[in-house]
Amino acid sequence: MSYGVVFGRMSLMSDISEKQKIIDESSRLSPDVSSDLIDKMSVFLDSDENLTELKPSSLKQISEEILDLVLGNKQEHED
Amino acid sequence: MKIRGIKITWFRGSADLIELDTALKSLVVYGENGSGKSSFVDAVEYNIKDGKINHLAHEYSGRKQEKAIINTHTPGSQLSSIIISFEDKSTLEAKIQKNGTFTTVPDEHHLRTWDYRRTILRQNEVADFIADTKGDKYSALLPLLGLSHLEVAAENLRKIEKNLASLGKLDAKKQDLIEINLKRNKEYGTKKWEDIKTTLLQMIAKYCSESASTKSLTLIINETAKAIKTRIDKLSEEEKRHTTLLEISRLDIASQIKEVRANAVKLSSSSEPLIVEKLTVLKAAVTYSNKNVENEIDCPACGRSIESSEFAGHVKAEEKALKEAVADFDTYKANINVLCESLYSLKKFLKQNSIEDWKTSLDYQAVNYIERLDIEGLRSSCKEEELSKIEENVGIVITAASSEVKDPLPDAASLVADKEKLEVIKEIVRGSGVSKDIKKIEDAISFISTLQRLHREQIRAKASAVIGEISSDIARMWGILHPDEKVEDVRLNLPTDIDKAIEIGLKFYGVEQGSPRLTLSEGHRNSLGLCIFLAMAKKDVGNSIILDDVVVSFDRNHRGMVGELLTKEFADRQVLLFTHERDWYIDLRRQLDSKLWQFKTLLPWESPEVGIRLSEKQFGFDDARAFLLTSPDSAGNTARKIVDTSFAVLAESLQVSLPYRHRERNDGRTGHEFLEKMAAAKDSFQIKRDGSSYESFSEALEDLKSADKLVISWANRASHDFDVTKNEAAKLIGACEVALSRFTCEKCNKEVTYLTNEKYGFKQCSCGYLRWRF
Repeated sequence: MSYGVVFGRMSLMSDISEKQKIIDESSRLSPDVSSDLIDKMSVFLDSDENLTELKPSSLKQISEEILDLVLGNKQEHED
Repeated sequence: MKIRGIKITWFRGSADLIELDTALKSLVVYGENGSGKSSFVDAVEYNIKDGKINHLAHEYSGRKQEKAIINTHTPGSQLSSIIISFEDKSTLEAKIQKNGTFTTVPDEHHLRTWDYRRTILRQNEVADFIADTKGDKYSALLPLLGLSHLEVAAENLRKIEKNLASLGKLDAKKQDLIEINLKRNKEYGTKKWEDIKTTLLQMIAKYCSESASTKSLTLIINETAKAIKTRIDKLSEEEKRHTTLLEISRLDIASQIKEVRANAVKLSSSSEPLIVEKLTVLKAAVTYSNKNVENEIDCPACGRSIESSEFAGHVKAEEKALKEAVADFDTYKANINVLCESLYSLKKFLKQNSIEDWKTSLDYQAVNYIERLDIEGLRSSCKEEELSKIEENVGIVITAASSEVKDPLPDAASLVADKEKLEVIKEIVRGSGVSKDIKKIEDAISFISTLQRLHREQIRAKASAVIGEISSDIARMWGILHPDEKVEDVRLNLPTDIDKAIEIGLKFYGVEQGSPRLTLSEGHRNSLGLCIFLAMAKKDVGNSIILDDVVVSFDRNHRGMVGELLTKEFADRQVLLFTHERDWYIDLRRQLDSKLWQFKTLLPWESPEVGIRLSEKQFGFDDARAFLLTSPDSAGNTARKIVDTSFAVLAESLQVSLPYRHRERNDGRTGHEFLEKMAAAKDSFQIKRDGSSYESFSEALEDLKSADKLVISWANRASHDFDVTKNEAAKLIGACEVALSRFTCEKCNKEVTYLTNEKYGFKQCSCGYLRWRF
């Protein structure tokens, strides 16, 4: 996985150790899920939709997608 | 972007069209209270805020503020309207219907994107920034910081983090795990998984013929359970009856009720709704504690009145106690759920055909009670009265079943015991999955939380840089308004322990102060508020700045410095300044560069039908004329006040000195004394009629003497005896106006104070036609 891409948005961070902390944090997840989740959040943080305050429905959708990624199966959710 | 003009019709105090034309210069507008100054400010705010004016937002103004925005005497055929024109030759027109709805032409205009808090400052808002919470200060500055996109990203991440917990059913999963562990402890005590696994392997060997080594644990358990069921199905009717009764007898419902009761006692001092409600309050309290509360407050956690510094500690202690109560409550709910599962099993067993004959021999009421029991109702509300009934009726059935199986059939007993052990093992394995899911969700939450934190740290780093620049501007402006005062190092800063907050710091006689509210007077706080507003406005992109009566609480010295501040810091910006302070208006006329500034005067208010009116005169004598018809005394008295102020200011500039008088008598000098002294200075006031040499400006001196005589007689009578006639007052006003106008050059239209030559000791107008020698 490319951490350079993942944290491109944070290129203004002057403290390298801060980037390392988030890499360590992600590595606590299992490797397969970790790379998927980090890639997903990378795309999300760089996307135009994140430049405005998201609607609850959009927030719910991305949250469900994250849960599917980390749990490895489709979650049952209440409407 | 400069404002070219503001036209209003039947809007607020205006009647027929009135236009404030700026000629793209800065502007000082003088008008006494109620003359309509703020109507022009309201017109700009109305358009910036999409049809709302903040100071009119109250219950009496109507849903669309129509009761306050529209002139009360607007003729039926007329509509209220605002037309604002700009430097770029664009205009924005708002047409307001009687019901307050409005349309604009064009639909979109750059004025509607202006930031109100960096455009308009009103009298009541000057100190607001100082008194605002840290969070509100941050909100006010956020657009300036240019960090909105990062704030949005951080806020989105915060909401996703919250969603992951709710959509991932994290609390339900944790509750499930508690129940699984209760069952494990009951069946296997403190046994480790390896020992439990040995039991499982023994059962596999006992019931399954195929090797299980290559299969998954769940599959092996399911196959073993299936094998046990097959064995039970093959039992004789007598053995099946015995098995069912054995399963009933092994239900440990009595112990489960005991556990529920023990938990209920532990929770006797609290209840779920109370806990949930209190936690909600505490969450709000945590947010509240992060804002700046500088006085003693009522703690929402404990209810006592405490110092704000103790507040965060109180909230944390209360939160810890409540979390412990929540843990007890979770265990209580888990025990109820385990009891409910046993009751469901009992109901199921009682439906078995094999024990039908045994059931008929039992107490009918006990069996009937169990069969009709609302178990789900018990899950949501478990009261002692219900527990006692369950205990009594279930006890009868289980005791009877135990009596029936006191001589167990070895095979059946073994099958039932193994079946129960296997069911618990199945739950333990499922619990392992639940536990892993919990960790995955918590890790994801932690990951998102870290992302959010990094965003916040980035915001803080950038905000610090911008705030540093603004602080530098604030300190410089404060220095202009308060030279040689021991309030220094005025600045904004970000608290180290809170996000989304800004504090104001300063040094008071060398002592660091966390808030200006600790030591600064009201006037100084307002002065600081003005500096902060102007520093924020200075960071903007060059739009007009509107100041509406902002120096009310300033003393004369500091008010005078505002003109200097505007000259030094805002020469390149358009400032629209509204004031009811006549002295200050006169000072500003002298102080501000006429190339950059215009001066206008509003006539005193007369009636809603007449509306707002601009004066043709420049010296404010129209204020006096406005009283001629109704109150000649007031007209004369107002003329005297104008003379007192105008000639005092003029005399100071022309270095006309009077003998010092003791204390307040020196401050209480009247216009007459200055008029008298100036009228006598025949060698000082000069005019260059022939274009080459100066001579005494005798006509002006005569006008000064004439005005002085009338001031002594009629103006004083108007002030003290109240018996001046209309004609006398009109003559007084005219004489004073003429006298004062003599100091303005008829050729270049500049005052004689326009240029100063200290070396040769004179002042003169721009063209040199008029000169005053010191």
